[in-house]
Amino acid sequence: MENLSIQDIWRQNETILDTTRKLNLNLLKEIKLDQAKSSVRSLLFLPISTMIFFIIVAFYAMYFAVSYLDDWYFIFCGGIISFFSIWYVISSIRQLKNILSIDYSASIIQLQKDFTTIKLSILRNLRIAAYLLPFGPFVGVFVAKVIFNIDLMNLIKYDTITELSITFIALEIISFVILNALRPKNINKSWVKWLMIGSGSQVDEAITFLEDIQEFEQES
Amino acid sequence: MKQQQGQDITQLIEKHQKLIYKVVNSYCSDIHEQEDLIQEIIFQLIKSYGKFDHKVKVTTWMYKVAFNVAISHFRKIKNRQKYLVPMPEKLVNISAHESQENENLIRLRKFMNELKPLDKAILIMYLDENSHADIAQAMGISISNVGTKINRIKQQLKKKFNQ
Repeated sequence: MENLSIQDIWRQNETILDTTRKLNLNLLKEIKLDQAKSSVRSLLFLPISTMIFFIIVAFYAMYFAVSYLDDWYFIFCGGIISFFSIWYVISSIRQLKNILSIDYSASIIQLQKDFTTIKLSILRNLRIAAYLLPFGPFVGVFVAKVIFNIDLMNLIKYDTITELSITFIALEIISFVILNALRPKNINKSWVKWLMIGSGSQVDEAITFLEDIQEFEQES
Repeated sequence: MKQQQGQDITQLIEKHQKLIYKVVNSYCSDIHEQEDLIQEIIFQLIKSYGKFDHKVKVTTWMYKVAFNVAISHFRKIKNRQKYLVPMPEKLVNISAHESQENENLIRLRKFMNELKPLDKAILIMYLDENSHADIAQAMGISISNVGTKINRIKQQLKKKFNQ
């Protein structure tokens, strides 16, 4: 089939569309941007809710640390949780900035990559959680005190310190493995996909589309 | 200046409305969704016109915006997410047209629907007689890459039409 004939067929399509679509020119001239809600706004829910949640947690953890100034481990628990909560807040603010600065006039490949990366923000959140993992026992101490008013450190005996140390080292190793796995270059690997099971079809779709984009760019 | 820019962009949209219809029609088959998608494209065109530096053709810039919105929408629909673009009135009226299509056009549209969204964007720009350089500019890939992809798509199309 010659190019000309394909383009002829395409022109028929144009003629049909021309006769069946009618732009409301009066409305177009009066259009106000603030009346139209962009679909981008639907992406804002996750970072905004994450930010609000962790601002509350950060403030509460700071209050917790100040409330138990006599016990070093409570101060440490409060400090650690505040630190990671602030990290999540900063990460959410960055994400919000990326969403709000989406420019549809960027090249198609670039914008689709940016969009897909935003959808993969769950990866960044998982990485922060992986950094937090070795401090898991302190989170446990914090939660036990806040919810059940139990001081776990008082229950720990000297002979359990070895077990705690082993747990801490094991968590360090797991954290290191997870952090390595969650690097963007590993996104297509099956074991990373396994790690992300349950994070939603949006993530699966984003990973597949990133693969398509990479394949598209590489072909020459 | 803002007022003048506002007038310019509405005139541009009016002048090149067919471009928007073609992109929308190629990525979305539901008439009601097409109306929403056209509105979203027009919204993004008006919004980003202030940043348009005129270093590329106006139509190349319009293709970029239209494809970016349409592909993002296409992916959302595939993911079964809700798409929200409320407007006070309908910016575009669309009537059904299937009966007017001839067999070749139906075959071409069927072929296009089987393409991946990025390949479809290249084919549409090619069929609209854009140069390889303009297509490369819009897509953000090299000119030689555009040539390779067009050849591959044409081969597939040829096979399809010869079947």
